Amino acid sequence: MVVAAADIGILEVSTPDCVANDFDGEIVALNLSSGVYWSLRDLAAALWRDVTSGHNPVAIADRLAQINSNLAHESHLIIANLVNAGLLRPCGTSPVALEGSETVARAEAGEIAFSVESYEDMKDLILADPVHDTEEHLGWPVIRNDNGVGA
Amino acid sequence: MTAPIVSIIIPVFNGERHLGEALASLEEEPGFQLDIVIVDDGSTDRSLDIVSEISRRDQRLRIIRGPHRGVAAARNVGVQAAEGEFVTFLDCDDVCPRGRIARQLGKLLANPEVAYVVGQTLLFEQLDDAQCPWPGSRSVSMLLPTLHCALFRRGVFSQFGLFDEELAFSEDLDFFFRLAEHDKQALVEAEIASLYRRHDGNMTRNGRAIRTSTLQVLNKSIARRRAMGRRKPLDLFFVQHQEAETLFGRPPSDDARDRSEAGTQ
Repeated sequence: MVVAAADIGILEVSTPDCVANDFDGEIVALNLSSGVYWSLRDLAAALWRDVTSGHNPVAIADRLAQINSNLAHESHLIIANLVNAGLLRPCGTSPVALEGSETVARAEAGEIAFSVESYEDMKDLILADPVHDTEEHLGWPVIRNDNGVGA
Repeated sequence: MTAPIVSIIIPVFNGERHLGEALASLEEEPGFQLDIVIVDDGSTDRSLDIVSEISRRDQRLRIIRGPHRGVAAARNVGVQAAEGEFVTFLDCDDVCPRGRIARQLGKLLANPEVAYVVGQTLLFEQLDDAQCPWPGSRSVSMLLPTLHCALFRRGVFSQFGLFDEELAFSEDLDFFFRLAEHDKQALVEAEIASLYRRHDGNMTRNGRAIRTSTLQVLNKSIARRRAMGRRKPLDLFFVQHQEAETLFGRPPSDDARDRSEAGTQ
């Protein structure tokens, strides 16, 4: 199901399918089910940090719209893409106060770049998956079927 | 004509339990000389005694001792000490399939454009004398980005560097990414090239740490590709299931054509 930006509330990282890490400000996120991995830098990385720490993406976009309507549009688009890519998912927690938003602070300071790249060269990682090890305690890799599901 | 030398690097850290079996799997084979480089990574068990005992009757063994610095550093010491023009690896708890090195060497000698040959990995709990999984024991065969299923031309290391000692895990994955970023040609074979024992002490059981180091590898690869202006997807051999021998990477003529098209002769 494709999620529209307006439907998105508070988000969290889609564990266990998504693993992500912050490398000196650059977010690298990998969807272990699809094999697609993403790099987020600049405001896109700030937006990831904001939404994964409980900021409401719609509230951030509303505030960005007051600075620059393009920023609001881009933030909506990125969040929708990250949700549709299976990296983020809605959750039921309460939002944190907008004042602490890194994205808003950096946009107010004049930043405008949302740098997002995705890589599909591990997309066929469906049959033998040495990374997505659901039998972690046993140490055996998962052999997955053609639908990408652990068999 | 002198037989080619193949160096096999075996990093050892407290490997007394299976080390003897690993070394016993390196039988004399015709067609090449085997240079067995044991790099002891600061073992505190009987590993060194075992290796010393075997080296008294097997002149192919060399032992390099050092403090504990991790498996990537140990492998780097081994590669730097290698005397062969071809290099492969074995972990001290694994088993080398009979005929594997000769078979892969034959493929490298027959295909001068290929940088490395990589085969399937059989993960096992217990093997019988014929190197087949013990009846009733668990086993699975798959294509993995591991070093002990590959035979490399030594020049690959001088061209693309050694293993990244910053990485606690996945230094092998990082190395294969680096080769793919430069479209080095790999021949992927259908045969088993590595017998990979799963047991209580496997380093690779720490799933969370492996996932973190995998992201680190991706981060490093993305940065390198950004720096070199590469936009083309990588041709990664280990993400695809191979039923038959397959060539990965592009022939050198394609690289030359790209340079010509870019105006950088």
